[in-house]
Amino acid sequence: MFEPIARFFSAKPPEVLPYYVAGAVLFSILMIFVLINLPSRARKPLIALVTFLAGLFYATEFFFPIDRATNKNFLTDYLVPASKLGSLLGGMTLTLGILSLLRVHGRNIARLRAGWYNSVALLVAMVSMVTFGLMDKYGANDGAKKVFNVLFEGMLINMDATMFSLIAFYIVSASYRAFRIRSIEATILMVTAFLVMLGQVPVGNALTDWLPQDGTFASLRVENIKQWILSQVNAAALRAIAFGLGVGGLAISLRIWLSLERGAYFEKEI
Amino acid sequence: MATTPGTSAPRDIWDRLQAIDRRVLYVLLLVVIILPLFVPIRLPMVTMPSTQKLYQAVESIPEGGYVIVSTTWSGGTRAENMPQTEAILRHLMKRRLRVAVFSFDQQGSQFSYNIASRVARDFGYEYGKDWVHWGFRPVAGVVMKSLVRDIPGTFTTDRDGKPTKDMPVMQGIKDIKDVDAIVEIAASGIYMDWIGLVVGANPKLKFGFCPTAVMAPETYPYMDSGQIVGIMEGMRGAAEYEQLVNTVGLATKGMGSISLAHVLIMLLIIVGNVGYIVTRARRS
Repeated sequence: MFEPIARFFSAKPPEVLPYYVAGAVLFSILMIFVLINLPSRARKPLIALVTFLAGLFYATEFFFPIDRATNKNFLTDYLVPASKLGSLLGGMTLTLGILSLLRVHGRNIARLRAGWYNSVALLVAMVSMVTFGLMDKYGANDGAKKVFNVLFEGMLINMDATMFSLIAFYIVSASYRAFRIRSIEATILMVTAFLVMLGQVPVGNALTDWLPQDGTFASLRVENIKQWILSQVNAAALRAIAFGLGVGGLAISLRIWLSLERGAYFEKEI
Repeated sequence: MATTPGTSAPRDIWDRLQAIDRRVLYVLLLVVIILPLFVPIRLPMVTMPSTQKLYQAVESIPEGGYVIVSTTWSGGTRAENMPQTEAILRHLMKRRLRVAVFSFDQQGSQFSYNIASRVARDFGYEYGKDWVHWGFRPVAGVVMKSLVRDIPGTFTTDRDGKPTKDMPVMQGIKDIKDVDAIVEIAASGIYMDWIGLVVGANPKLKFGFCPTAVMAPETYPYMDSGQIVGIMEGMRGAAEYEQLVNTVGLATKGMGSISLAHVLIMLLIIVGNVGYIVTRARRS
């Protein structure tokens, strides 16, 4: 039943590949055009149908018994094409994101709204990264490679690290200001936090290094106390939370799969 | 004279202890982080059972075994995830295991390629024969579902677009049952996807996780259940692992800074609380 589909999605020889690519692009443009012009009342059932079919595919593949000889069921071979389709959809959402950024920030610049220069910086950075990234990947230009390295490894990565490092400063400030032992619970929390923090760093280990490594008193070494807190107290609490999350996640998944979910993203006019 | 905000009472030492200027805190933190990098502090370090378990799991893989290393991290968590990546790759290559590296993050892909190339040079690993880099792969869930059944089909090309099917390192690798271990180095909760979609598909598969320290506590239940064989917890875990593989890397060097920063935070909390307790006692 699925043989023609499998044949269609199989690897194509290089001489016909461009025709398939061109055909796929044309088909995609046509589909986008049709979807955009679809009446509003027809969109929701269509989205519900596609969501249901996609979920049905993975659920059936997962639950349907496998043939012991091949270790597969009738859908297993389509997992890889489905994953590629998923990657393609991911790529398309990226395009949507870029288009949205261009529209929002282009409008900011055109109307000279407050902070418009930030929008200029964002768009210049985005266009530069894409341009030099493509030139680095597909061109044989050493200059472009150097510029891309400066942009990616010299700037982006370090700015990312800088932004994240700032958290340390806020944590110090916030913990100093907010951590007050106003109740028994807060006191227990602070003592526990101190023990875990001490157990996490060598200076904490040094404090109880005089205690034996084995035997009864070894339990009082700060790293062992930390380990006990994490593996016993913390793990038990997390298990309970994870269990609740799992049940909730299952319920939400079913609601989304069957398009029963209501609320912010699901009742909006599209 | 300074007064407590909202009151006309003069501020005494106990009030001041609760309201140290944040710029002073920032400078203190900066000093305790930078100083130990120039003046190394040697402190005893005990290897945690979680790190030891990960090390033992790698040790138990037979020579020539196949390990996938996923590096889902970016520049923001470089301080923790970079030494973790380097430590685990050193161990894998020291043990002459076949290694496939890839990432669900673009930055992570670049980082892991740089690190793996450097470590591979140290151990005489040949690209394509002993190790391969599959590059950046978006949409983690679908990639995981796919690699369970068909690894060559999922990673048809390496990071440079070269076909992987003829590479010696890919020979004999069809699906997840041919993989001995997966190590995920991440700054996110992606371990849940690995456990949910991949780990159960091969009962013999060892799954190791190297999270940032802040994420480590939430992974303990999965180590208890055996779904995660071992955890390398943040920079501390990386330092312990470096100790186990007999190397001194960024993590070991950074332990002094981490120690002093922790001590500073605790001292500041104590100072603030001393001021708070005395003030409260006086008022009552």
